Amino acid sequence: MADNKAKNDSDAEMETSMPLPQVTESQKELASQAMSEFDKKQYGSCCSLMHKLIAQRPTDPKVAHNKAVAEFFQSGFLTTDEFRQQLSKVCQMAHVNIDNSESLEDVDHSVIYFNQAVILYHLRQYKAALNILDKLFQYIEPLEEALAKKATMLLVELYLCTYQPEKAMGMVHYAEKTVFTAGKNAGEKENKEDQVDEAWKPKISLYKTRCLLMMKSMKSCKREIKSLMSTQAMNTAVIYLKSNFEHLRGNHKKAMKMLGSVSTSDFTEAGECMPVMYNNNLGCIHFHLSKHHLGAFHFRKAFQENENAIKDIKRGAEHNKNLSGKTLNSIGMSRHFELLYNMGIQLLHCGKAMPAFDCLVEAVQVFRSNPRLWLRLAECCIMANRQNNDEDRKLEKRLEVIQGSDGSGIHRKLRLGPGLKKDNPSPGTPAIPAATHEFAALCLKNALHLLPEDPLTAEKVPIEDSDTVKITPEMVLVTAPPGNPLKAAEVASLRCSILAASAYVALCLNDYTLALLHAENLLKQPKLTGAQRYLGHLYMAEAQVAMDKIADAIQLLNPELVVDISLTLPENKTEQDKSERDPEASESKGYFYPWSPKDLTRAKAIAQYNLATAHAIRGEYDKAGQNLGERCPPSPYYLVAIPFTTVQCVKHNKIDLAALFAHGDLVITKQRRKSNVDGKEE
Amino acid sequence: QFDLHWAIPAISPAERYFLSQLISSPTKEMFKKTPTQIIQLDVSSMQNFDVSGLQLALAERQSEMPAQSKSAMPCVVPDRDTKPSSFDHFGKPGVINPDVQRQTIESLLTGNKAPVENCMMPEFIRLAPPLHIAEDELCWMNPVDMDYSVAWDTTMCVSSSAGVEIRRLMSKAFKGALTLQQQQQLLDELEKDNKLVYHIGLTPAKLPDLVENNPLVAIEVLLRLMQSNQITEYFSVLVNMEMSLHSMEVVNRLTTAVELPSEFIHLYISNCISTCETIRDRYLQNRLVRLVCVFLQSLIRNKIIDVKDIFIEVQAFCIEFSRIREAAGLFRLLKSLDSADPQNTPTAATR
Repeated sequence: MADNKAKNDSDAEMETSMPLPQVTESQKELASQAMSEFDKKQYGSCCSLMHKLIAQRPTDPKVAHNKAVAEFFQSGFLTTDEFRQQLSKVCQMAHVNIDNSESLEDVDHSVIYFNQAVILYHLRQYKAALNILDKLFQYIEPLEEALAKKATMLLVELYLCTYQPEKAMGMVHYAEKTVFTAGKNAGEKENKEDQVDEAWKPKISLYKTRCLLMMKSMKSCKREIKSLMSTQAMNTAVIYLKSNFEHLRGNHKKAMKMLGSVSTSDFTEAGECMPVMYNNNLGCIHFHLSKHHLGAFHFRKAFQENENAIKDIKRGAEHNKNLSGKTLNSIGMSRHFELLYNMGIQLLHCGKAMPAFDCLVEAVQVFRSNPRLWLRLAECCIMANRQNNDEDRKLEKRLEVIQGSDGSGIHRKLRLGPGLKKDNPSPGTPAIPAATHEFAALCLKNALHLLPEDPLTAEKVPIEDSDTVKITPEMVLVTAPPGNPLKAAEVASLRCSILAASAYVALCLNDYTLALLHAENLLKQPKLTGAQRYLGHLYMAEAQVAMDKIADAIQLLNPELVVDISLTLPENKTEQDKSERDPEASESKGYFYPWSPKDLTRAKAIAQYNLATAHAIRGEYDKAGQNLGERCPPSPYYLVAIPFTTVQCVKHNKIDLAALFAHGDLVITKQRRKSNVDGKEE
Repeated sequence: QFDLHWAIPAISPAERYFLSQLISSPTKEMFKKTPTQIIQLDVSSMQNFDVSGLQLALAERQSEMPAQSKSAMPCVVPDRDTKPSSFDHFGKPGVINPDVQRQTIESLLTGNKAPVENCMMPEFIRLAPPLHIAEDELCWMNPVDMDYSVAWDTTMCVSSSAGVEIRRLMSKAFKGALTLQQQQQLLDELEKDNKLVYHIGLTPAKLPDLVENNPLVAIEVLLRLMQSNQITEYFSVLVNMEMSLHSMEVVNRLTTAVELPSEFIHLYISNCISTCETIRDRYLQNRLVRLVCVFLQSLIRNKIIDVKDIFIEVQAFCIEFSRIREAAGLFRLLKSLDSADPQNTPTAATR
């Protein structure tokens, strides 16, 4: 097998080495002329020189390669398709199989690898490009200097594009030490060992800042940005990075000011559309300022700009094939899916569940590995089915309690409503995206699978070196494209939210075993917000009642247990360095969607109502009534709650129902009769 | 005189009798009667409507069901209006009005979704969870300052006749032994150009061929590749390749020339030992064992490995092959080192 392979390889080498004639002096001359023309950006004359050269050396892959490069430059990067074809031909000539080879065989082929990676980068096939460049990087030492620099820079960029900031940072450090050291002569090397080439310093600094921002290590980032601002304060990229930094720190006004200071020319040299970025970033800022509708407005504007930019390019490319016709830089320009992602989350916070769902369903097809995005999709489904928790208090809902009466006199009968629950079985399978609880369950399953294993369950295996186990989760970043990767604390809070949503959805699907499992899991998590603990108890109790463990549920529902329903972790406020946060930053913390119950009294009332329900189910109507009647503070749910227990009591105590309905605080029947009462009674 | 049950409307004894008959053993006579006749039956004379067995069965069955499934009640509840609704009823509260009665019954029992079919249960208030709060979720866009463009191959037509010749020699070297002259030429060219070694087409996968056919060339090439970041790949191939005189020679020479990672050497030794143990051919085995022993002795003498690290493994090896002279020699060497400083090798002390 190995012999056979070796034979083939050597045969191939024979073929290439045999017909390649010696390079004559005149050919050498031609080649160097072509190169100098290329360096002078005289692509026309370079092309004609290359034509002459290829006529003399038709089998030389390097000549064919450079001819293709020259023609591509000559076309103004419009002929991407042709260039790719030429490149694959060159690969055939040189007997290179880029996709399948395990590593680079000959440093001579490195340029081909690099160019292939560049094209893939612009096509936004980052993983494939990274694959190729990784192979090339094994041979970085012998590479010609200029190419080595280009390759490392592209590698850093690709790591950033695939949200691997640590790897990118490692590469930047490596590059600083080796590739970009200025002193190449042996004599200079001693005193200038770590001196970075001046020309590259700002670029390296930019990369570092981007890595640090992505890793959210603010302190070192601050230092880096300071040095950047001192040298190139007018650079658009620098200003955007600074603005991003301020935004992450919570200084939204400063960030906005920075963005506004840039003159928005339409396109950057790299072919990016500035108005899209500008509007998108403004949207991000407004999102964090809780101005959700303004944020949505800016995202919509960014969307339009993006569409326009693409249209402009397409117009130029109409009579061309797929990729050709657009410049190489603008092929991957559209930020359609990132914008959809931002827009979807923004709309969700506007309370528009259905439009948000439509956006995010599109976005999730591209950013499949983002667990938080799956959670957001599930939240859309939840919200589409229950706009908010005050829904039950609406007048229509309350009027439904008594649907009407039949007959008169002693034959009079009241018709009661069927209750709050509506089982609407979703049509079709949950695999087809629709804003149903079934689909939400699927989304949440995906989200949980995408998270690293729960440390609670994982820790059981390695008992010995618990120190190392505790350190590693801090290091692991979970990718969340197109946003920055998640840190360990964020992963933990995300897991809590996913578990809470999972328990809720399982309850809605009448899957009580699963609901109990999720709720138990949720309550086991080390860092829970007050609201999540409260919800965990409620969900668990409901599931237990359904599984006939009412005694357990009653203990959980004790209203005295409800002591905290805050939505954020208490440590959050103390943890942040005061020096790092500006005084105005503290206001930025209110960008969440309002959630009810808002205060402790209401939360307790709900727990107590549920307690009454549990008692009623067990047939303890007296206790149920007590919980509703005496100690229960005035709660909107009270009105819905009363009729059931009352009716039950009536049956048992043989009290006249009409008398009870006439009784003091019960106004439903009156409402029904008048039916023009307004909804804001209490 | 009405029995009140929370889930069933009030029924009279006659109705009760009828129901019990219906459930247990209906007599044919029964079906000939009209509802009015049944209602007017004098049930006090009939003693045989004992449904306690039935009730017991029912209670038993219900006890198996969860409380929640037993907690519902019909949606229709009586709500007597004592106030007269029309002139006719004035002053006659509680009088049955057949028209109203019929109308009420019709409206409750008929229709697509008749009200009597509905029921109502105690329900939990199920709060939806709040939206997840994330600090940095949206995608912020930063312009990329770099222009990643296609590169020109600067090595075009830069003649490398030496390179071509070397590559041809190398491809021969993978297949068979080179002549002394060819070897010398190869090594000379490698000496001249430091970076040439990266151009000769040697990948880790091809290393075993080179080692088997031209160990001397392999050593030189590996020494020149020491700076490469791929060198560990080459090492791991070398460790895992089939054990032979040549591979051992290469490893041995490498150990004397440069400092190899110790885990690499350990891995190689264990590989050698296990190869010796598993080989079937007696003659070949003896040969290999001898080789390994000499190899190990040289490693130990040159202080390239610390005996303590591999003591147990090597000792077992020596005992297994004690019939071979070199193994015995190695064993003696181990013992002499062992007795030299006993406190450092606790395994020896217990023995």
